[in-house]
Amino acid sequence: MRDLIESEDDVLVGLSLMMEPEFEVAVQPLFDDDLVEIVEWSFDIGWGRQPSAWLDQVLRDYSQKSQLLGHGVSYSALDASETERQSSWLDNLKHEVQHLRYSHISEHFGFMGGGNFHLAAPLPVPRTKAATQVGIERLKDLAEVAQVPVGLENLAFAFDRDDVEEQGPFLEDLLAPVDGFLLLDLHNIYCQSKNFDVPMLELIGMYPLERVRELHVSGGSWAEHPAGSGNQVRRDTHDGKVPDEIYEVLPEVIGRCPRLHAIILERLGNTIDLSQGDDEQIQADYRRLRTAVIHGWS
Amino acid sequence: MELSVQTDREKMAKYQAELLRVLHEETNLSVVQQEVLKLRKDLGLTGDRCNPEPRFLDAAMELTKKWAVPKSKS
Repeated sequence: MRDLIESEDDVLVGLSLMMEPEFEVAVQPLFDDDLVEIVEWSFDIGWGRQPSAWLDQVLRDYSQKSQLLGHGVSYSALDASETERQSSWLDNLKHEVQHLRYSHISEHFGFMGGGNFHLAAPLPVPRTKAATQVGIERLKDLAEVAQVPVGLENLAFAFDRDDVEEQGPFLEDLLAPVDGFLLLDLHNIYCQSKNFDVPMLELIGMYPLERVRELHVSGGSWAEHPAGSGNQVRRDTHDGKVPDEIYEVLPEVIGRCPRLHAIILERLGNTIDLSQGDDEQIQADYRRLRTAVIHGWS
Repeated sequence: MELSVQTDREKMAKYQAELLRVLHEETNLSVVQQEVLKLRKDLGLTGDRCNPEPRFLDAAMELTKKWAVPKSKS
Protein backbone atom coordinates (compact mmCIF):
# COMPACT_ATOMS: atom_id res chain seq x y z
CA MET A 1 0.00 0.00 0.00
CA ARG A 2 1.18 3.48 -0.83
CA ASP A 3 1.87 5.81 2.07
CA LEU A 4 -0.59 8.65 2.27
CA ILE A 5 0.91 11.41 0.26
CA GLU A 6 2.56 14.17 2.22
CA SER A 7 3.16 16.81 -0.41
CA GLU A 8 1.36 18.11 -3.41
CA ASP A 9 4.30 17.08 -5.60
CA ASP A 10 3.39 13.40 -5.34
CA VAL A 11 0.07 13.54 -7.13
CA LEU A 12 -0.98 16.37 -9.41
CA VAL A 13 -4.46 17.83 -9.09
CA GLY A 14 -6.14 19.42 -12.06
CA LEU A 15 -9.17 20.11 -14.20
CA SER A 16 -10.84 18.64 -17.23
CA LEU A 17 -11.00 21.50 -19.75
CA MET A 18 -14.22 22.56 -21.44
CA MET A 19 -14.91 24.78 -24.45
CA GLU A 20 -17.76 26.85 -23.00
CA PRO A 21 -17.03 30.45 -21.91
CA GLU A 22 -18.86 29.81 -18.60
CA PHE A 23 -16.23 27.20 -17.75
CA GLU A 24 -13.44 29.68 -18.37
CA VAL A 25 -15.10 32.20 -16.02
CA ALA A 26 -15.67 29.55 -13.37
CA VAL A 27 -12.12 28.19 -13.25
CA GLN A 28 -10.06 31.31 -13.99
CA PRO A 29 -9.60 32.11 -10.25
CA LEU A 30 -8.07 28.65 -9.76
CA PHE A 31 -5.53 29.33 -12.51
CA ASP A 32 -4.91 32.83 -11.11
CA ASP A 33 -4.10 31.30 -7.71
CA ASP A 34 -1.73 28.81 -9.40
CA LEU A 35 -3.70 25.83 -8.10
CA VAL A 36 -4.09 23.90 -11.35
CA GLU A 37 -1.12 21.57 -11.67
CA ILE A 38 -2.29 19.49 -14.60
CA VAL A 39 -5.12 19.62 -17.15
CA GLU A 40 -7.01 17.05 -19.16
CA TRP A 41 -8.41 17.65 -22.61
CA SER A 42 -11.02 15.56 -24.40
CA PHE A 43 -9.43 16.32 -27.73
CA ASP A 44 -12.09 14.66 -29.87
CA ILE A 45 -14.82 17.04 -28.70
CA GLY A 46 -12.63 19.78 -30.12
CA TRP A 47 -12.14 18.21 -33.54
CA GLY A 48 -13.71 20.45 -36.16
CA ARG A 49 -14.33 23.25 -33.65
CA GLN A 50 -12.33 26.37 -32.94
CA PRO A 51 -11.05 26.63 -29.34
CA SER A 52 -11.12 30.02 -27.64
CA ALA A 53 -7.85 31.91 -27.36
CA TRP A 54 -7.85 31.12 -23.62
CA LEU A 55 -8.30 27.39 -24.14
CA ASP A 56 -5.71 27.28 -26.89
CA GLN A 57 -3.17 29.02 -24.65
CA VAL A 58 -3.86 26.73 -21.68
CA LEU A 59 -3.42 23.65 -23.89
CA ARG A 60 -0.12 24.94 -25.24
CA ASP A 61 1.19 25.94 -21.81
CA TYR A 62 0.44 22.59 -20.18
CA SER A 63 1.65 20.68 -23.22
CA GLN A 64 5.00 22.43 -22.94
CA LYS A 65 5.17 21.55 -19.24
CA SER A 66 4.26 17.90 -19.98
CA GLN A 67 1.24 18.31 -17.74
CA LEU A 68 -1.44 17.66 -20.32
CA LEU A 69 -3.54 14.48 -20.29
CA GLY A 70 -5.62 13.26 -23.23
CA HIS A 71 -9.04 11.73 -22.72
CA GLY A 72 -11.01 10.55 -25.75
CA VAL A 73 -14.76 10.16 -25.60
CA SER A 74 -15.79 8.68 -28.94
CA TYR A 75 -13.36 5.89 -29.90
CA SER A 76 -15.79 3.20 -28.72
CA ALA A 77 -13.15 0.73 -27.60
CA LEU A 78 -15.48 -2.28 -27.27
CA ASP A 79 -17.53 -1.71 -30.41
CA ALA A 80 -17.52 -5.09 -32.16
CA SER A 81 -18.80 -3.82 -35.50
CA GLU A 82 -16.50 -3.49 -38.49
CA THR A 83 -16.83 0.15 -39.48
CA GLU A 84 -14.53 3.06 -40.28
CA ARG A 85 -15.34 4.78 -37.00
CA GLN A 86 -12.15 3.74 -35.21
CA SER A 87 -9.76 4.13 -38.15
CA SER A 88 -11.10 7.61 -38.84
CA TRP A 89 -10.76 8.49 -35.15
CA LEU A 90 -7.17 7.20 -35.10
CA ASP A 91 -6.32 9.28 -38.19
CA ASN A 92 -7.48 12.37 -36.32
CA LEU A 93 -5.49 11.32 -33.27
CA LYS A 94 -2.31 11.06 -35.37
CA HIS A 95 -2.75 14.72 -36.24
CA GLU A 96 -3.61 15.63 -32.65
CA VAL A 97 -0.46 14.16 -31.10
CA GLN A 98 1.71 15.98 -33.61
CA HIS A 99 0.50 19.30 -32.21
CA LEU A 100 0.14 18.69 -28.49
CA ARG A 101 2.23 16.58 -26.13
CA TYR A 102 0.03 14.35 -24.02
CA SER A 103 1.54 12.51 -21.04
CA HIS A 104 -0.96 9.72 -21.48
CA ILE A 105 -4.20 9.06 -23.33
CA SER A 106 -7.30 7.35 -22.03
CA GLU A 107 -10.64 6.27 -23.40
CA HIS A 108 -13.79 4.66 -22.00
CA PHE A 109 -14.77 1.10 -21.24
CA GLY A 110 -17.89 0.14 -23.20
CA PHE A 111 -19.31 0.76 -26.67
CA MET A 112 -20.84 3.88 -28.15
CA GLY A 113 -22.10 2.72 -31.49
CA GLY A 114 -23.16 -0.34 -33.40
CA GLY A 115 -24.76 -1.26 -36.69
CA ASN A 116 -26.51 1.82 -37.98
CA PHE A 117 -26.20 3.91 -34.85
CA HIS A 118 -23.86 6.40 -33.27
CA LEU A 119 -24.08 6.95 -29.56
CA ALA A 120 -22.39 9.57 -27.42
CA ALA A 121 -22.65 7.82 -24.05
CA PRO A 122 -21.11 4.39 -23.50
CA LEU A 123 -23.04 1.24 -22.65
CA PRO A 124 -21.57 -1.82 -20.90
CA VAL A 125 -20.43 -4.93 -22.73
CA PRO A 126 -20.63 -8.43 -21.19
CA ARG A 127 -17.22 -10.02 -20.58
CA THR A 128 -16.84 -12.54 -23.39
CA LYS A 129 -13.82 -13.87 -25.26
CA ALA A 130 -14.83 -11.97 -28.39
CA ALA A 131 -15.40 -8.69 -26.55
CA THR A 132 -12.02 -9.06 -24.87
CA GLN A 133 -10.34 -9.70 -28.22
CA VAL A 134 -11.99 -6.63 -29.74
CA GLY A 135 -10.94 -4.42 -26.83
CA ILE A 136 -7.33 -5.61 -26.88
CA GLU A 137 -7.06 -4.99 -30.64
CA ARG A 138 -8.52 -1.52 -30.28
CA LEU A 139 -6.17 -0.65 -27.39
CA LYS A 140 -3.15 -1.88 -29.35
CA ASP A 141 -4.19 0.32 -32.28
CA LEU A 142 -4.59 3.25 -29.90
CA ALA A 143 -1.20 2.65 -28.29
CA GLU A 144 0.52 2.47 -31.67
CA VAL A 145 -0.77 5.90 -32.67
CA ALA A 146 -0.53 7.56 -29.26
CA GLN A 147 3.07 6.49 -28.49
CA VAL A 148 2.38 7.24 -24.80
CA PRO A 149 0.75 5.10 -22.10
CA VAL A 150 -2.89 4.35 -22.91
CA GLY A 151 -5.71 3.41 -20.60
CA LEU A 152 -9.42 2.97 -20.04
CA GLU A 153 -11.92 4.56 -17.68
CA ASN A 154 -14.43 2.48 -15.75
CA LEU A 155 -18.08 2.94 -16.71
CA ALA A 156 -20.93 4.24 -14.52
CA PHE A 157 -23.90 2.66 -16.22
CA ALA A 158 -24.67 -1.03 -15.70
CA PHE A 159 -27.64 -3.20 -16.58
CA ASP A 160 -27.13 -5.62 -13.71
CA ARG A 161 -24.96 -6.55 -10.75
CA ASP A 162 -22.83 -8.84 -12.92
CA ASP A 163 -21.94 -5.89 -15.14
CA VAL A 164 -20.72 -4.19 -11.98
CA GLU A 165 -18.75 -7.10 -10.54
CA GLU A 166 -17.04 -8.20 -13.75
CA GLN A 167 -15.92 -4.76 -14.90
CA GLY A 168 -12.73 -4.71 -12.83
CA PRO A 169 -11.46 -8.13 -13.98
CA PHE A 170 -12.59 -7.34 -17.53
CA LEU A 171 -10.53 -4.14 -17.48
CA GLU A 172 -7.51 -6.12 -16.31
CA ASP A 173 -8.01 -8.51 -19.25
CA LEU A 174 -8.04 -5.56 -21.63
CA LEU A 175 -5.22 -3.51 -20.12
CA ALA A 176 -2.66 -6.20 -19.34
CA PRO A 177 -1.65 -6.97 -22.98
CA VAL A 178 -0.71 -3.31 -23.57
CA ASP A 179 0.43 -2.65 -20.01
CA GLY A 180 -2.31 -0.04 -20.02
CA PHE A 181 -3.43 2.06 -17.09
CA LEU A 182 -6.74 2.37 -15.34
CA LEU A 183 -8.47 5.71 -15.09
CA LEU A 184 -10.61 5.16 -12.01
CA ASP A 185 -13.63 7.45 -12.01
CA LEU A 186 -14.82 7.72 -8.43
CA HIS A 187 -18.19 9.18 -9.33
CA ASN A 188 -18.81 6.25 -11.65
CA ILE A 189 -18.03 3.98 -8.71
CA TYR A 190 -20.39 6.09 -6.59
CA CYS A 191 -23.16 5.61 -9.19
CA GLN A 192 -22.76 1.84 -9.13
CA SER A 193 -22.53 1.84 -5.35
CA LYS A 194 -25.85 3.66 -5.07
CA ASN A 195 -27.62 1.84 -7.89
CA PHE A 196 -26.61 -1.64 -6.75
CA ASP A 197 -26.20 -1.08 -3.01
CA VAL A 198 -22.56 -2.07 -2.75
CA PRO A 199 -20.12 -0.06 -0.57
CA MET A 200 -17.76 2.09 -2.63
CA LEU A 201 -14.57 0.63 -1.18
CA GLU A 202 -15.83 -2.90 -1.82
CA LEU A 203 -16.37 -2.02 -5.47
CA ILE A 204 -13.04 -0.24 -5.74
CA GLY A 205 -11.32 -3.35 -4.41
CA MET A 206 -12.55 -5.28 -7.47
CA TYR A 207 -10.40 -3.13 -9.81
CA PRO A 208 -6.70 -3.56 -10.67
CA LEU A 209 -5.59 -0.65 -8.50
CA GLU A 210 -1.91 -1.16 -9.25
CA ARG A 211 -2.77 0.09 -12.77
CA VAL A 212 -4.39 3.36 -11.68
CA ARG A 213 -2.58 6.44 -13.02
CA GLU A 214 -5.48 8.83 -12.82
CA LEU A 215 -8.64 9.45 -10.80
CA HIS A 216 -11.72 11.35 -11.93
CA VAL A 217 -13.88 13.18 -9.43
CA SER A 218 -17.20 14.81 -10.29
CA GLY A 219 -20.81 15.28 -9.30
CA GLY A 220 -23.92 13.89 -10.91
CA SER A 221 -27.67 13.69 -10.55
CA TRP A 222 -30.57 11.46 -9.56
CA ALA A 223 -33.14 10.44 -12.13
CA GLU A 224 -36.60 9.19 -11.28
CA HIS A 225 -37.75 6.25 -13.34
CA PRO A 226 -41.46 5.60 -12.82
CA ALA A 227 -41.12 2.26 -14.51
CA GLY A 228 -38.96 1.14 -11.61
CA SER A 229 -41.63 1.72 -8.95
CA GLY A 230 -40.16 4.98 -7.78
CA ASN A 231 -36.59 3.74 -7.82
CA GLN A 232 -34.01 6.33 -8.58
CA VAL A 233 -30.96 5.88 -10.75
CA ARG A 234 -27.77 7.77 -10.00
CA ARG A 235 -26.27 9.11 -13.21
CA ASP A 236 -22.86 10.43 -14.10
CA THR A 237 -24.02 13.76 -15.49
CA HIS A 238 -21.08 15.94 -14.34
CA ASP A 239 -23.45 18.73 -13.42
CA GLY A 240 -23.42 19.09 -9.65
CA LYS A 241 -21.55 19.13 -6.38
CA VAL A 242 -19.12 16.31 -5.66
CA PRO A 243 -20.75 13.96 -3.09
CA ASP A 244 -19.19 13.93 0.38
CA GLU A 245 -18.70 10.16 0.20
CA ILE A 246 -16.18 10.60 -2.60
CA TYR A 247 -14.02 12.87 -0.46
CA GLU A 248 -14.37 10.39 2.40
CA VAL A 249 -12.92 7.46 0.45
CA LEU A 250 -10.28 9.51 -1.35
CA PRO A 251 -7.38 9.10 1.13
CA GLU A 252 -7.93 5.32 1.24
CA VAL A 253 -8.08 5.14 -2.56
CA ILE A 254 -4.91 7.19 -2.96
CA GLY A 255 -3.18 4.91 -0.50
CA ARG A 256 -4.11 1.85 -2.54
CA CYS A 257 -3.00 3.21 -5.94
CA PRO A 258 0.82 3.10 -5.99
CA ARG A 259 1.17 4.49 -9.56
CA LEU A 260 -1.32 7.34 -9.20
CA HIS A 261 -0.18 10.42 -11.12
CA ALA A 262 -3.15 12.78 -11.40
CA ILE A 263 -6.57 13.57 -9.97
CA ILE A 264 -8.93 15.48 -12.24
CA LEU A 265 -12.13 17.34 -11.35
CA GLU A 266 -14.76 17.13 -14.09
CA ARG A 267 -17.66 19.50 -14.71
CA LEU A 268 -19.49 19.79 -18.04
CA GLY A 269 -19.21 23.31 -19.39
CA ASN A 270 -22.78 23.43 -20.66
CA THR A 271 -24.16 22.75 -17.16
CA ILE A 272 -22.56 25.81 -15.54
CA ASP A 273 -25.06 28.52 -14.63
CA LEU A 274 -23.10 31.50 -13.35
CA SER A 275 -26.28 33.19 -12.12
CA GLN A 276 -26.83 30.23 -9.79
CA GLY A 277 -23.34 30.39 -8.28
CA ASP A 278 -22.04 27.29 -10.06
CA ASP A 279 -18.65 28.97 -10.43
CA GLU A 280 -18.33 29.23 -6.66
CA GLN A 281 -19.38 25.59 -6.27
CA ILE A 282 -16.76 24.42 -8.75
CA GLN A 283 -14.05 26.45 -7.05
CA ALA A 284 -15.11 25.12 -3.63
CA ASP A 285 -15.07 21.54 -4.89
CA TYR A 286 -11.64 22.01 -6.42
CA ARG A 287 -10.13 23.56 -3.31
CA ARG A 288 -11.63 20.83 -1.12
CA LEU A 289 -10.29 18.17 -3.47
CA ARG A 290 -6.84 19.67 -3.44
CA THR A 291 -6.84 19.94 0.34
CA ALA A 292 -7.93 16.30 0.65
CA VAL A 293 -5.14 15.21 -1.65
CA ILE A 294 -2.42 17.23 0.03
CA HIS A 295 -3.40 16.49 3.62
CA GLY A 296 -5.03 13.10 3.24
CA TRP A 297 -8.30 14.09 4.81
CA SER A 298 -11.70 15.06 3.53
CA MET B 1 -8.45 -14.94 -35.51
CA GLU B 2 -10.03 -18.20 -34.41
CA LEU B 3 -13.24 -19.02 -36.25
CA SER B 4 -15.18 -19.29 -32.98
CA VAL B 5 -13.94 -15.90 -31.81
CA GLN B 6 -14.85 -14.38 -35.18
CA THR B 7 -18.32 -15.90 -34.93
CA ASP B 8 -18.66 -14.61 -31.38
CA ARG B 9 -17.55 -11.18 -32.54
CA GLU B 10 -20.25 -11.13 -35.19
CA LYS B 11 -22.73 -12.18 -32.53
CA MET B 12 -21.53 -9.38 -30.26
CA ALA B 13 -21.71 -6.84 -33.08
CA LYS B 14 -25.28 -7.91 -33.81
CA TYR B 15 -26.17 -7.68 -30.12
CA GLN B 16 -24.75 -4.17 -29.83
CA ALA B 17 -26.47 -2.93 -32.97
CA GLU B 18 -29.83 -4.42 -32.05
CA LEU B 19 -29.62 -3.23 -28.46
CA LEU B 20 -29.05 0.33 -29.60
CA ARG B 21 -31.84 0.08 -32.14
CA VAL B 22 -34.33 -1.23 -29.58
CA LEU B 23 -33.38 1.31 -26.91
CA HIS B 24 -33.50 4.13 -29.43
CA GLU B 25 -36.67 3.25 -31.31
CA GLU B 26 -39.00 1.57 -28.83
CA THR B 27 -41.08 3.66 -26.43
CA ASN B 28 -42.89 0.83 -24.66
CA LEU B 29 -40.87 -0.49 -21.72
CA SER B 30 -42.53 -3.92 -21.83
CA VAL B 31 -41.51 -4.34 -25.45
CA VAL B 32 -37.97 -3.28 -24.61
CA GLN B 33 -37.87 -5.81 -21.77
CA GLN B 34 -38.91 -8.62 -24.12
CA GLU B 35 -36.45 -7.57 -26.83
CA VAL B 36 -33.55 -7.20 -24.40
CA LEU B 37 -34.35 -10.58 -22.84
CA LYS B 38 -34.12 -12.21 -26.26
CA LEU B 39 -30.97 -10.34 -27.28
CA ARG B 40 -29.12 -11.20 -24.09
CA LYS B 41 -30.22 -14.85 -24.27
CA ASP B 42 -29.00 -15.03 -27.87
CA LEU B 43 -25.67 -13.65 -26.70
CA GLY B 44 -25.37 -16.54 -24.27
CA LEU B 45 -26.23 -14.77 -21.03
CA THR B 46 -28.36 -16.63 -18.53
CA GLY B 47 -30.62 -16.07 -15.52
CA ASP B 48 -31.11 -12.55 -14.15
CA ARG B 49 -28.56 -11.20 -16.62
CA CYS B 50 -31.19 -11.49 -19.34
CA ASN B 51 -33.71 -9.46 -17.40
CA PRO B 52 -32.32 -6.11 -16.19
CA GLU B 53 -34.42 -4.10 -13.73
CA PRO B 54 -36.94 -1.81 -15.46
CA ARG B 55 -35.35 1.32 -13.95
CA PHE B 56 -32.07 0.53 -15.70
CA LEU B 57 -33.77 -0.22 -19.01
CA ASP B 58 -35.73 2.99 -18.63
CA ALA B 59 -32.50 4.89 -17.95
CA ALA B 60 -30.82 3.27 -20.95
CA MET B 61 -33.81 4.16 -23.16
CA GLU B 62 -33.59 7.77 -22.06
CA LEU B 63 -29.83 7.85 -22.50
CA THR B 64 -30.01 6.29 -25.94
CA LYS B 65 -32.91 8.40 -27.17
CA LYS B 66 -30.97 11.47 -26.15
CA TRP B 67 -27.73 10.53 -27.82
CA ALA B 68 -28.03 7.73 -30.35
CA VAL B 69 -28.74 8.78 -33.90
CA PRO B 70 -28.89 6.70 -37.06
CA LYS B 71 -25.63 7.05 -38.97
CA SER B 72 -27.45 8.07 -42.13
CA LYS B 73 -28.79 11.11 -40.29
CA SER B 74 -25.63 12.00 -38.39
